[in-house]
Parts: sequence; C-alpha cells; structure tokens
Amino acid sequence: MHTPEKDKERPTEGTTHRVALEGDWVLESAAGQLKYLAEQVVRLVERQPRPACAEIDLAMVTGIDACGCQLIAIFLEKLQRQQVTARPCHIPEEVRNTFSQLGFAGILAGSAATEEDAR
Amino acid sequence: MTTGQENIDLGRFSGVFFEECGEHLQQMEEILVGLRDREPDQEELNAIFRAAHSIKGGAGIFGFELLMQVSHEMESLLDSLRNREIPFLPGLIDLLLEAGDLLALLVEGYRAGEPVACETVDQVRAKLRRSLGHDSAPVAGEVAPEVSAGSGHPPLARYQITFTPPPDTFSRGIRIDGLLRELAELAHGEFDCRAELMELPELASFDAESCITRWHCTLVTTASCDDLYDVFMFAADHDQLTIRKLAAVEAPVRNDPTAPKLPSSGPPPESPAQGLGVQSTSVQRPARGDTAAGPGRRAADSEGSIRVNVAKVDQLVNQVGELLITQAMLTQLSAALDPVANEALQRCVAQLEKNTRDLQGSVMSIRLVPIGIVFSRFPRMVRELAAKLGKSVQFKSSGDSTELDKGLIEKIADPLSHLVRNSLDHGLEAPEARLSGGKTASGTLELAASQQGGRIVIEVIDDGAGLDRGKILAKAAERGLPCSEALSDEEVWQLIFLPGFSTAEAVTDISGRGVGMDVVLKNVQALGGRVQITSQAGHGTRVSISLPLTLAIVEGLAVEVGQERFIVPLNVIVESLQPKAEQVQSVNGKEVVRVRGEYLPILRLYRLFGIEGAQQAPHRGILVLLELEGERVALLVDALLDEQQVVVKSLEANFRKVEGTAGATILGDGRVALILEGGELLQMHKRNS
Repeated sequence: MHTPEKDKERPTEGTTHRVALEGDWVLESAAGQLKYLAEQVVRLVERQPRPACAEIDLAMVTGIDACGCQLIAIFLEKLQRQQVTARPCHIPEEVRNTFSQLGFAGILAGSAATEEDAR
Repeated sequence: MTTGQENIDLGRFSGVFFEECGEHLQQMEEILVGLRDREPDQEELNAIFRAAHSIKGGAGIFGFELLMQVSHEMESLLDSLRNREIPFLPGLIDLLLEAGDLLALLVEGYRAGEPVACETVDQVRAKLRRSLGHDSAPVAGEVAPEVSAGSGHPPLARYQITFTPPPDTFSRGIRIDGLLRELAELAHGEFDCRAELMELPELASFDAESCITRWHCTLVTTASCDDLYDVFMFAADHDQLTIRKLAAVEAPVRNDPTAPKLPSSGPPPESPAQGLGVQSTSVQRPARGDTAAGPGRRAADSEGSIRVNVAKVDQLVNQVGELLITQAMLTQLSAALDPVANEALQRCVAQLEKNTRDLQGSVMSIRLVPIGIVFSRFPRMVRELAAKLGKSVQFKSSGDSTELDKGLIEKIADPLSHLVRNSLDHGLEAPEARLSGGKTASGTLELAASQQGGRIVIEVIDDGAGLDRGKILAKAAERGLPCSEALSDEEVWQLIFLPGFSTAEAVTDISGRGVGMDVVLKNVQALGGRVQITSQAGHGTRVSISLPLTLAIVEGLAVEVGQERFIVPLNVIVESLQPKAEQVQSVNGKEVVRVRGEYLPILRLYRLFGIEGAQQAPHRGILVLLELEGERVALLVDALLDEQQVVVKSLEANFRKVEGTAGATILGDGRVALILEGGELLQMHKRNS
C-alpha cells in the first residue's frame, strides 16, 4: 500500500517536503498506516537539511475513522515537536467532515492556508 | 438539625422520613405508570394525593422548604383533579411523574446535603401551576427560566461533557463517530466537539488500535443529564465520563436559605472564562445499579431491613469462603484418621461441615436481591420510549421476586436496557403495521425471570416483527462474514452478536448507539452468562440471558486429569460413565461416544490444557457428560474425586485469564484447581477439531 514511490515523499521547493497519505485510515488498517507514519517521521527528521515544512497530502485518503484521525493527529503533533511545520492539504470533503465530526478539525487548521497558497 | 424551640434533635429522625418518602414516591410512580394514559379513578387519585400529602407534612416538620413547596403544588393539582375542577389530560401523568422525580431529587439532595438546581424546581413548580390554570408568571421569588426553546418546550441548558475512553475503545468496536453524532443530534444549535491527545507516544512502540484521545464537547440541549449519560451507556464507565451542566449567567440562582446547602468542596470553575461567565452546577448521576429505584426512592425489597455497607457483606462472604476451605482441609485430614479411634472427632467435623454450609447459604442469601428492583425501572422507560416512537406497547413482567446476586443485578441492568430499547425500536411495529399484519394495535414487551437449576434466566420477549433472516444474512455477506443460506436460524441469529453488526436502516436515539448486541453479549459473558435468541418472523423475538446464581461459590465435581485437578460445575453435568471400547467411534473424522443411541463428541481435557501423563483411552477413563449451550458433550477425565462447594478465586485478578476456566479454587489439600467454564471449553474444542 505504501510503496516508497519517489513522488509520495518528494521534497518540494525550498525546504518543504511532501508526504502523501493514501488508502483507508481505519481500525482494520491502523497497524500498517502507523508503520508508514513512523517511517515518514524518521525520514523527515533524518533528512539533511531538515525540512522546515511538510505538506501532508490527503488527496488519496479513501476512508477514515476515529482511529485513523487519531493516528494522523499523532503524526502531525510529532512533526510539530520536531520543528517541522505540518500542513495537511488536498483533503477530500468526506475526510474533512469526519475530522470535523470527531473533533479533530483543529489539527487541520493550517490546511486552508496551505491550499490557498497552492492555488 | 436542632429546633430552637424544643431542643429535639430532629436530624435523628430525618433518616426515617427519607425512607418513608422513598416508599411514597415508589408507590406514586407505580400507580402513575400503571395508568398508561387512562384517567385515574378516585381511589388511585386518593392514593397519589395521600403520598404527596405525607411528604409535604414531613417536609414541613423538618423544615425542608423546597420539598414542601413542590409537594404542595402537586397536592393542589391532585386535589383539583379529584374535585373535577380541571379536566384530566394524559399529559398530566407525565407532569406528575416529573414532579415525582423532582421530589425524589430533593429528598436525595436533603439527605446528602447536596445541591438541587433551583431552576429545575422552579420549572416544575411553574408547570404545576400552569396546569391548574394559574397565571403563567413566575411565582414569587422565582426567576425566569434561564433559556427557553419556546413556549411549551423543555428548557435549554448548556452541558460540558468530557469523555475519556479506555484504550481498548476502538478495538471493542465502539464507534466514536456514532456517539458524537447522537450527541450532536440532541443539540439545539450549539454543539462543539474537540479531540485532545492525552499523550504523544513513540510511534515505533505505539499500539495503533489503542485509544489515547479524550473528547470535550459542549452542547445546548433540552435533553436531561440522564439522556446524555445514556448516549454513552455502553461506551463509558462512570469514571470515564464527566457531564457538567452549565447554567447561563443570566439566570441567577435564587438565594434560598432553606435549600439544601451547596457542598463546600464543589468543583471550582475550570477556567477564568467559566468562572466569570457561567454558573456551573454539578449534576451527579447515581452509580449504575442504584438507578433501579431512582434517587430518593426506596427499593421495594427493603421492608423491615437494615442498611449494611456492601463492602461489609463482601468481607463476610470472603471470610466464609476461607472458612469453607479450612473446613474442607479438616474433612480431608480427618478422613485419613482411624474412624474408630477418632469417632468423636469425625462427628464434630461432620457437624462443622453442616454448620459451615448453612452459614454459607445464609451469607450468600444476604447478597441476593429480587430482580424486580431492575425490572421496576422499565415500565416508565417503555412508556416514554413508546410514546416517543409513536408505538403502543403493553409492558409485562413476571418472576420479579426471583433473586440474584447483588453484583449481578447491578451489572445486568444496562444490557437489559439495551435489549428493551432494541425491542421497542426495531422489534415492535407501529400500530398501523401491526393492524395490517393481523395483530392487535398494541404490542407486548415482557420481561421474565426464573430460576432454572443453578442459573437465573432473564428473558426479553416481544411480539413484534421478529428478526429478518434474509436481512441478517445479506448484511453478513456484505461484511464478508462466512455465512450461507444453509445456516440454521439459531446460527443466523448469532451473527447479530458480531461487533458493529446492525441491520437497522437508520441510527436512532433509541437504540442506534454506535455499539450493538456485541456489547450486550460481552457484558453478559463477563458475568458468566450466556445469551440465546429465538425468533419467528412476524411473531416476535425472545432473548434469553442465563446467569449464574452467584459468582462467589460454585457447586462442583472435582475431577483428576494427570496430576491436575479441575472443578466441573454441577449445573452442567448430566451424568458420568465409563464407556466400553466399542462405544467410542469415529464419525466424519471426529471422535464420539455413543450413549443410548446419541453420538456425543469427546472433549479431551488433557489435550485442551496440555497435560501430560493423563489417561488417553476413553474406555479406561471416565466420561463426564455435560450439557453446554444446548449441546451435549463428553469430557474425558482420569477419575472422579468428590463433589464440593468451592470458593471462586479470580485468576484474572491474581494471574491472567485462562481460557476454558471461570477461575480457580483452593482444595482441601491446599492444591489449586481450575474451575471449568463450559461455554469456553466448547469453543476451544470446536476450534481444535
């Protein structure tokens, strides 16, 4: 599911890095998704120079539940702690609604600006 | 409390008054709920009036001003009804029930010295006055309702809810989105939800299915605090949920010198904003299990009783358990002595055994309480939910006096509530549908309890539409579960116990709670119980919960397997036999024993528990025939030892869960024996074969 495709984690301009999340982010697939996130944190932190910003692309997320929201929230918080500004972007409407319903909307707060910037 | 005039310490007598109030309120509710929507006759009105009048009189003596005022308003309404000064309307029953609830809350408040929100008192008093046709302006000293959703609607209140679910919430199949959606549906406009990570774990070592999120919600709603707790009924224990009612600052709390005093240790405002802008009122919900009779109400079973702390009873039960073990040791030691030389000693030991058993029976009976305590909460629930759903339902109960261990009673209330809600919501049809199906417009929902051998069977029976076999199979197929048309009805019904399984087309606030029958099953199994369903399309559904009489002591047969000993509960044993070699056969590759023309599978205990040196040939050992979950099986053991009552010790508390066992016990010789759990043994056997 998470093949190390170059475009999924390619550095963008300047010091921005891109991480693409895809597939279902639900309880049943949580273990695999967590492994992927852990790898991404290590890659981001070990990259020299360390990127100041990471775009978290959720365009390919097909489904999400509370367990998945929690994983992404942990991931974003981890990045923040590592001085990497995480910017969720390209969030499908359904995913955004679920985040919102489950009270995780706050963690996506930076996404609007990011998408604005992208446009 | 001491009155200045007579120097009599009335406080000494207030306990009796509270008890009497409980009885009056219980009686009042029974009559009102029994009315359904019909007009009470003169005798019933008199009985309710007398109850209110007695409460008012006592409240006056003790100076419980609010209690006196509310009961007075209630009395006035009842008097007007009695004298036909106002017409009877079905809505008056709801109002009287609401007033009864308030009296119960006030009684509890005065008893505990805890606050009861004045605005709640004012609202009910205002309703009582309005029903009498008095002016609708607030009564003297009252404040205007804090926020109103509009004329005739319940008042709006703002609640702050903090939900801290346990780590296994996700893996238990609890749907947080369902819970939050249901909460949002209760909100009138304002609903705010915020998730907060309680920790930031190391990703490499984190369990992806573990829940470490806490949810904070604020909502404005007309729902009661109990309604909000009900949303989390199966998802949260009490310590995982905090619900605070936040009264708007515009509604000042009246300074009533006679009101129950506010506790000095009340929670401080959580934030400066809250401290400045809102008035916080803690809403205490009674502990689960205490809700059966409701706050301030007295359970019907406690006539002529004294109140004893449950911890003391538990201590007594444990001590008797230890005594039983010591007695068993003495019996075993004395049995090895010369019976002639020690005749007197052995007589004494036999007498000790008898006395110990009698004592144990007496002590265990202290913990037994009638199931009616739980059943009594349902007439009102059924009445209110049926009205909400637009259904006509007649509630019946039987076997109310059947006794069950108090610990079980407390824990069975929630699963029963869920089953009753399910029946009302999904089982019983609306009147039109029933009529078109050739049934009476009114459905029947029955709760029945009975003792069957060493178990208590509680049944929830409805004469509704029954389970839809096709729908369940389709849903199972959709979810990728192994199923086919060849499954028996019983097997199909078992599918609904799978986590998250629901065929309901719409999630409702009655039974669609994001969790389902799997939680009911899990809760019942945790009590050593089993759930069985029988259903017939168009005729209804019967859900049977079978529970052990008590969890503390088991009547069992000690058996030997290799060097190990096990206790087989007597209630599952049918008989034991030593088969002839030719009785043991193989059918479809499975080992069976033929007993009077019936072929029973053989469960080899040594194999299930990995015991070496045990007898492997059934015709050289003993087969104990068991009836487990409606199936008969033969348990292969080396030898039968003796029949005894054993004290159940929890393995989980002291070691870990061991599959196939319900716990362990200490035998007379000091050895530890595992107590077998039939249902789990059967599952283990099916898996292994």
